[in-house]
Amino acid sequence: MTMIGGPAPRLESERLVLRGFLPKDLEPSSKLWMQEEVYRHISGKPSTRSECWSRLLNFSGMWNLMGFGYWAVEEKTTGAYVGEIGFADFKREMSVSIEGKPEMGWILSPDFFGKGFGTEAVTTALLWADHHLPFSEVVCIIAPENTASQGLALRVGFIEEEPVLFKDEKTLFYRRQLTAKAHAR
Amino acid sequence: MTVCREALAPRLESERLILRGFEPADLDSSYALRNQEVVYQYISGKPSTRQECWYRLLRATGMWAFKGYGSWAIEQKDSGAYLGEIGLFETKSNFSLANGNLPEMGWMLFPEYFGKGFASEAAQTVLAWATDHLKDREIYCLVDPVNTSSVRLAKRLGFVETGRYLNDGIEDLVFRKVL
Repeated sequence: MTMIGGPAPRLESERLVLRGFLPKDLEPSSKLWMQEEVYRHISGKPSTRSECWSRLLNFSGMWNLMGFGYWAVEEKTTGAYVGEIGFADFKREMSVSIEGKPEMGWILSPDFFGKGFGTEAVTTALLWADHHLPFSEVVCIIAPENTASQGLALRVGFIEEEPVLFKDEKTLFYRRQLTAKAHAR
Repeated sequence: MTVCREALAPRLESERLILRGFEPADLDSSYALRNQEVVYQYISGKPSTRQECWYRLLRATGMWAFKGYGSWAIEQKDSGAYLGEIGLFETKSNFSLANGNLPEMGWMLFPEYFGKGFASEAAQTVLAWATDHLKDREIYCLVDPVNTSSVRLAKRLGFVETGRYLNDGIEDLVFRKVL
C-alpha cells in the first residue's frame, strides 16, 4: 500500500481557521462558485451543485493520494465560510508540465475581499508547506486579467516565470521555493 | 504523515479477488480501462481523458472520507492484475438529487476478464460489506438496457427493476435494492 496522506491538518492564523472539507460545505461552496467575481478568472462559468460536490471530493481525496490538498477557510470569530485554498496536482494539460508538483490555488468569497484574508490564508498554507511538504517548490498559474491574485502571489514570495499555454490561452506562471524545513527534519 | 484509516477503503478479499482503495499509480490502468469502447459505450458513451480519470480516482477516495463508503480497485489475487473498478458513490446528479441521494452502485471490468464471473464475485463482496456497514439503506444502479450482461448481473444480485430514467438523451433502466 502506498497511501501517503492522511486528512487535512487543521491550521490557525490570527483571524482564520484552515480545515479539511466536510459534506456540509457543499452549501457554502455552491454559493461561492455562483459568484461571478469568483469564477470569472477560473472556470469562466458558475459551477453546478454536482460540480461543486465533485470538487470537494476531489480536494478531500487529494490529501490521501498526494499528501497535500485543499482546505476550507473559515473566519475564526463567526465560523463564516471565507473560501477554499490549498495545493493540488490536477494533472493539467499545459505547455510546461507541472505534474506531481503542488500547484497552489486560492478562492475567496467577495464578501471578504479587501480585508487581507487572502494574504493571511495563503501565508498560513505556505508556512505549513515550508515545514511539511517534501518538495523544493510550489507553483501557481493565474489568468492575465486577475491582477488581484498576481499581487497576492508576488507578496507571498512567488516569482513570475515565462507565461505558459493552458487551454490554448496565455496564462501567467509562478514558482515559489519552499524553505526545505521538511527535508531538514 | 499519518494515515486516517477509517477514511480509506477497507481491503476486502474473495476467492479470486482483492478489492482495495485507489493509489496514484492506478491512474494508468484506470485510464486504459476508460478507453475501452466496450467499457465506456454503456457508461459515459465516450472515452475519458487522463485528467478525468485522475479526478475520478480523487473523488472515489474523497467519497470514503465524506460518506464512509466509496469505490475499490479490483485486483486478481494470483496475478495482481488490475481487473477493473467497483463501488458505491453519491453523485448528486439530477437523478441522485431527485432520489434522496441514495448510494449508486457501479462496476466495470477490462473486456479480457468478461465472462469469468469476476464482476459477480466482486459485486457480491461489495454487497456483503455494504449490508454490514450501510444496513437497511436502499441503493440503486442505472444500467443501459442494451448492456445485457450488466442487466443480468443486477438481477442476480437482487436488484429490482423499478423503471426507466432518461438523461441527456440516454435511457437507462433503474434498479433498486434494499441492503
